[in-house]
Amino acid sequence: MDKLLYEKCQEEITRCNRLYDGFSNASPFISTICSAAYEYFKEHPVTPLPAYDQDEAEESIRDRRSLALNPSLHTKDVVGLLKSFGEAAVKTNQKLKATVKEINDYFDRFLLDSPEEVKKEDIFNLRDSLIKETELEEDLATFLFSFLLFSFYRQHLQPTSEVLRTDLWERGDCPLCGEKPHYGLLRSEDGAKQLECWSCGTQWLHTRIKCPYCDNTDMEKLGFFTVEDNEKVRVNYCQKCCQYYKIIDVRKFHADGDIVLVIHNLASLDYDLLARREGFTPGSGLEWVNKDEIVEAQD
Amino acid sequence: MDLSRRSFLKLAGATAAAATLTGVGLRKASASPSEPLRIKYTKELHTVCTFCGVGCGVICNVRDGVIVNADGDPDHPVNEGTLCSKGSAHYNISYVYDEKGNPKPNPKRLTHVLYRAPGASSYETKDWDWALEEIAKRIKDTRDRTLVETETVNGQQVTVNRTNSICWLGSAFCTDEENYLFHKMARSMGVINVDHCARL
Repeated sequence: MDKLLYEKCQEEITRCNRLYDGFSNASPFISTICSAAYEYFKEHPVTPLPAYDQDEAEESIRDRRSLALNPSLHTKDVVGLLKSFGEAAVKTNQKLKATVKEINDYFDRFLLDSPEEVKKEDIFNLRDSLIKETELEEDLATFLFSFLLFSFYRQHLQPTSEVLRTDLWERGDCPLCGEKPHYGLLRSEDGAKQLECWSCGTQWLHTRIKCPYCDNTDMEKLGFFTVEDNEKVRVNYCQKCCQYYKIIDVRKFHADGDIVLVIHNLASLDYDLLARREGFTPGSGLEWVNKDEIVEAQD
Repeated sequence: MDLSRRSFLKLAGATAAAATLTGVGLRKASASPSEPLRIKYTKELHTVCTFCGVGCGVICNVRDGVIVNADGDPDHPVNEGTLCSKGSAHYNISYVYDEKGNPKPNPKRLTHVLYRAPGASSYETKDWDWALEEIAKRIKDTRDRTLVETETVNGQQVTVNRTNSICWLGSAFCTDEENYLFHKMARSMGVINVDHCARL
């Protein structure tokens, strides 16, 4: 995480405190996590990957093929950043000290058993094992691991991101890394739907009434829900594939400059819970809700 | 029995505190069953603004069968998400206002085909298939009945194949290609009174 993004995140946290009920309780933790990432990358700067050939990238985008860039990461860096996230969690809640120690021991074993570099799937396997073997629950694991990838990939892929013709991209998955989005926004100037990749931060426009996961355009099977007295977050759903994603309607509040959607996503996790309880699954594959939280409502 | 280390520790009562988002302050509290949030489901439906010949694309937000809002369609090539003041308010067409000024859905809004037969004093409800077939049948009857095949010009019989009894009005909402096809269709039937609604 570079200084600019760090500062934007802090500003967005302040804005979200104002916009979302209850988020102020979580903002110290989110703020500490952002600081941890910023400090970590200050000490361990990331070398961005060379930019993809511009012509090849454009040809791929015109052929409706994502570049699907998923660079390997240094295992030591992955573990290092995760441990600094753990410290941030303990700073927020001292009761987590024993849990974080247990998780850190797991990381140490992972570091010993793994090659020097790991791929995205190895990192998500680590996440799954942690959920199974330690006291780390699914929602926090999803946050820590998605934020970890976001922090690395955003920097790694920055040079390619700058030459990518996202204006030619019409599909629902990320043109740069191929992940499926979990959130997006409606632009204030024209109401266009802009999706954002949770993994690398790439933004692209997508047809407003279309499912990004199954390309369904049947208006009768697409829709969104909001919560009474709060229209700024929409949960867009598709009844054909039964999946959902969240859209922040920027037209509903005053916002100068860029919106850091990662923070809005965290501030609106209520909606993920509602979506799960309504029977939709996250099209991104990111599970932000623990199983017991979904069951709670069904009792 | 598949028993993970975590399950074993849980059974033994020897676990540390669960690390959840709630544990770090991110409680999804307002969605808890004790204080449930009221969900409002909305559909987004494409339509075209009815006010002028520009034909702006509109997305209507429909909740429980009632239009509650209209946005300019950002994916429509004509208006790219914008709407004029009339277009922005055009969803109000579907409302009437009571004595206190509160809006309610207009019970007289046309939602199906109404037909009044020649000489009849009231309308009857018809479906679209009936209406389209009836229109086609009457156009053909009129055309066949009134078609002038030849005319004498300077003492000579000239083939004209035209009817003066039908007028064809095109639409500015249609694309060039659609208007081209409509024009072809009108001419092939012998219609010579072809005009267009764009008077902006």
